[in-house]
Amino acid sequence: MQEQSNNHLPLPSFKIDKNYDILERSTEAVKHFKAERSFLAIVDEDSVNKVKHWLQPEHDQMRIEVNVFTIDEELILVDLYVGWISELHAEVLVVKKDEAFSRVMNQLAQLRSRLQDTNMQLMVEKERLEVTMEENRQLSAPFITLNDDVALVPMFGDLDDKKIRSVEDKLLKQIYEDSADDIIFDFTAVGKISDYGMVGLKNLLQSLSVMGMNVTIAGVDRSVAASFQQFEVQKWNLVFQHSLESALKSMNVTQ
Amino acid sequence: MHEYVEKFTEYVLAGDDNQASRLVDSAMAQYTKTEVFEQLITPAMYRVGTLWEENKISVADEHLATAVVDMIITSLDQKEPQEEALPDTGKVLLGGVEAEEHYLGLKMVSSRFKDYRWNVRYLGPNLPLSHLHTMAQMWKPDVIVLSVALAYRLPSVIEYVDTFSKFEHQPTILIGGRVAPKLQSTFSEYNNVFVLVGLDDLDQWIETGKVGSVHAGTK
Repeated sequence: MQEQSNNHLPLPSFKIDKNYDILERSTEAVKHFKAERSFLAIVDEDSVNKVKHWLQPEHDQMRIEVNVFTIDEELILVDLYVGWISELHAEVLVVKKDEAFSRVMNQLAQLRSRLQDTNMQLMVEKERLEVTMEENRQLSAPFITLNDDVALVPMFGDLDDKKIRSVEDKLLKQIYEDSADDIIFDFTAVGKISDYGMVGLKNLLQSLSVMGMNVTIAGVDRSVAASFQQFEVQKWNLVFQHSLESALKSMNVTQ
Repeated sequence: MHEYVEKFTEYVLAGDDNQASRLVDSAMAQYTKTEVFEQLITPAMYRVGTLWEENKISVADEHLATAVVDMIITSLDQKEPQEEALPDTGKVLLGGVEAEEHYLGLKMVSSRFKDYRWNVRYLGPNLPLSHLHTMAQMWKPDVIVLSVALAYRLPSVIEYVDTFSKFEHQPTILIGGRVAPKLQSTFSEYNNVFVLVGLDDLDQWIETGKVGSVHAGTK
């Protein structure tokens, strides 16, 4: 063990030579750092070049910020205060970065990670909501068989392309498997119909027309009926009734 | 773009997010996002590291620069029309190995995946294996991206990769980061692992499922 010096200082201090070999170390240095032969051995890999570059006789009275390993292998950020006694020997004081500084940096990292967690939770929540909305959409156009010839599909809520897409496949399959030739879409409980929703509806009605179905649309107001007319509905066996009741009457469906 | 790097570094070190983000905006008007990431933001952050080595700035300055760039990448994601993930693209989980605090690279990768309209979950840096493991088992991502900046984290990376390779659903693992070029030989035996040297590699992988022999970084 090398001779100790600067034992009066409340800080770790080393005396090193030009090749970074440790010649002396203070009591504090013995307490906090491993008894390595080379000073570079306690320096973090990513700080070694910095130490090699700045710990040179031509840079006297320097302060260098580096990461070093403590005796407990903890990586800490320190300032090295370096003074050269001669061309060959230097004294190095190791001053740990202010605790307050490290605390603030840790707090910042924690804040960032909390934002990250919140972001993640929001995303998971959003995905769960999307699943619920999809289930909701699927339920908004139930297929009801009224008798051998007539089926009823009451539509609920606002109609957009997403909703049409959600219900389309199931609906077409049920209609295909059912014996009914007449199908009534009841729009009484429908709110707004978006432009894309209208396009989706058009495609759905076209498919039904190809399947040879007679389609009645019940419970639409005048403006909606007008938008349907744009699609040249006359080609598709489409009938409008102002209410579900009149639609049912016209098909002789009684309760 | 080269001429922007110095100014950009100056702005982020000064914590001047307005100027920095204006500069990125004008770069975005002329270049692709990958180019802006690769040729402006990444070199600027390497420059920050060099300035620290040159004893000109402190770690506190580095943290400030990182926070500003973090914000800029986030706002770039927000600026583009928020398109939803396409149902037929994959799911990707991104995270940094434990004790790895460098995360800007991961953020840039996450941003690119969003551009390709993947379903993205970015978990941030410094994740214990158990944490990533639980998330990956629950969510079953098609791709797991790990980032490594420091060479001595390699043993952790191998441990993570070996764990994920045992998953039944066989996720692909992408590894990027500053030391990535040195890792290529380590993972050459793994056929589910791709080492990405740059974001060009990433784009290429997303588009073709392969990483070619012609590497970025040589340009």
